[in-house]
Amino acid sequence: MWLRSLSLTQFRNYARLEWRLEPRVIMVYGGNAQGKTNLLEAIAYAAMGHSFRTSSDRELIHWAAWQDPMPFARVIAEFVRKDGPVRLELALVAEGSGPSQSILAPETAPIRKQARINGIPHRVLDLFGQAAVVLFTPQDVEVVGGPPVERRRLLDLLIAQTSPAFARILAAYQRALSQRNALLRRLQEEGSDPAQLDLWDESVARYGAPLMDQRARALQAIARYAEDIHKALSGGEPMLLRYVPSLDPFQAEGQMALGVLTWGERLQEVELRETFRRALLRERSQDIRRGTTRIGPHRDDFRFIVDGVDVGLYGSRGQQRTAILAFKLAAARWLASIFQESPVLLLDEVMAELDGERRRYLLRALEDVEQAIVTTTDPMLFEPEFRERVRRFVVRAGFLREER
Amino acid sequence: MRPVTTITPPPIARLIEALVKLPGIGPKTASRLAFYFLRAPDEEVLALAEALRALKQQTRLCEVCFNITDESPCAICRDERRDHGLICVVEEPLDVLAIERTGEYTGVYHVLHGVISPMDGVGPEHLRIRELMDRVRREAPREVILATNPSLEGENTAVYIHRLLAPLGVRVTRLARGLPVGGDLEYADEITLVRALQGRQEMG
Repeated sequence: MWLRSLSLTQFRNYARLEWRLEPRVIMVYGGNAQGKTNLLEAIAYAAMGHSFRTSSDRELIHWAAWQDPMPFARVIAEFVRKDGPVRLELALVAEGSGPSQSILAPETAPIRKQARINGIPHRVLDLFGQAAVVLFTPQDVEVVGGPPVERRRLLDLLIAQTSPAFARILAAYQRALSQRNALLRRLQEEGSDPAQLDLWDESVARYGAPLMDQRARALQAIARYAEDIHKALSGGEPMLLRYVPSLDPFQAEGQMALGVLTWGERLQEVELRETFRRALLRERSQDIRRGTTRIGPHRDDFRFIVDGVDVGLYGSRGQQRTAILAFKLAAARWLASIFQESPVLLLDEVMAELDGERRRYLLRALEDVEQAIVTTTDPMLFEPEFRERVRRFVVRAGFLREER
Repeated sequence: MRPVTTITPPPIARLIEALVKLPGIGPKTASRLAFYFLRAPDEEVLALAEALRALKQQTRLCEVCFNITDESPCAICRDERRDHGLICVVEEPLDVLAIERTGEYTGVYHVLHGVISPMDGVGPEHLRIRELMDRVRREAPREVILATNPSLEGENTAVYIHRLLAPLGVRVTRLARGLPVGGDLEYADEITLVRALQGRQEMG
């Protein structure tokens, strides 16, 4: 699939932008802080309903818009899929303006978020599954050795792109978990009847089991692609992605822990739910003492293993960079296998950090997909023939123009 | 927020501040309402003030179903033409109004006044669940319909009540969940569709 047009109104440093694109490699270059990353952010925002750079939607509204009585920002991205075009729209509106308040404060104003798909209002979560994008950023490397929450987010966002149902289950799981934790803290303080936990144990297990199941399956599928890609990138070393579930159903049942994930095939979701529920019951008194739920997919992790070594713990910066690059390219192939067409690749300033060989590999991968959008401060990092083949745009202080 | 009083005389500002607290009323609507009252005839405004006062002084909860009423037991619980063997359990008094509007339901109600939600500090003991148990034991109805919302908390409250009612041998049912009338399959989310499939019915 490919992005046909991007329209921005008061988004970040773009007061107004109408951008037509073609299904090929597109290079955007310009100095720092001119708005290159904002373009990729906007595209990913329309495809997934949230920003990869900030959790505060307020920041996305152009600073000048805050002078208006009703500040807003809008992103419209039109993707072309095999089955036709789809128009994804996300608007942010700052609310609460009244006669006594002429100017809303950018720090505190409540923001309303409205999503539309082909003009029809939808919940923001429904944007998932409409278009597939894979983002490459210089910060990706931190995910390999960073806290588990980063790796969970990476995996969850990929799965959500293939299944809006997964995004809903994830949201439901988090809500059920918050309810259970709130009750645990109350029981800790008041020491009342813990039987009330039954309800929330069941909800947590009901939404948690499909979460674990789908994570295991997705990671297993991505790992298959990643193994070969990593070999090619590193000159022969295979990479293994090891799922480390907080609750290993085989270990819990007194069998040998698998670590590597074949349990999607070996265990039915119903059994997984039952195992999870029993584990929650078993851990109940400990959980009450700690006032929090200590097992479950909210504590899952996965590790990057190269030649038997955990790269997140013992790898060099360079090895971690290769590992995450292999993972992202594998994720792109996995998305392609599900959508039956290639996702749009968004690469933010990633060339500079790679050596010649990895750079060439990545450029070949870009030409395998229908569309890739690459930002750079330095077009000279790319080979001349490559520069000639692609469409080039220059961005400067929120204005974009094509270079011929 | 800049204080309203810098622009508006205090009595008006006070009213605007009170109106803004109402659900669905923003600052703009609140000031529009306030200036409307300022220009409206005295008797109209005083009638509203009196209606508000009476609302608080002359209403209470029905001793049987805990719906809001001026007289206890409420009109629905007193109505002998209604089917007292059928109790519909709802979260809020507004849900009674919604079901009554259908004109299809002839049973009686039981209002819980909320759902179980530990995050909001609401446990079963804060709802009218014990009163429901007493009522079912006392009146031995044929059927209890659990009509809480299909939210996580609504579902769990229904499950909780169902477990308490099960040993009493009363028939317990749950509102059907599925596609909205006039809805489009294409726009239904997966969870709704799955439930609609599970709850499918024989035609005719």
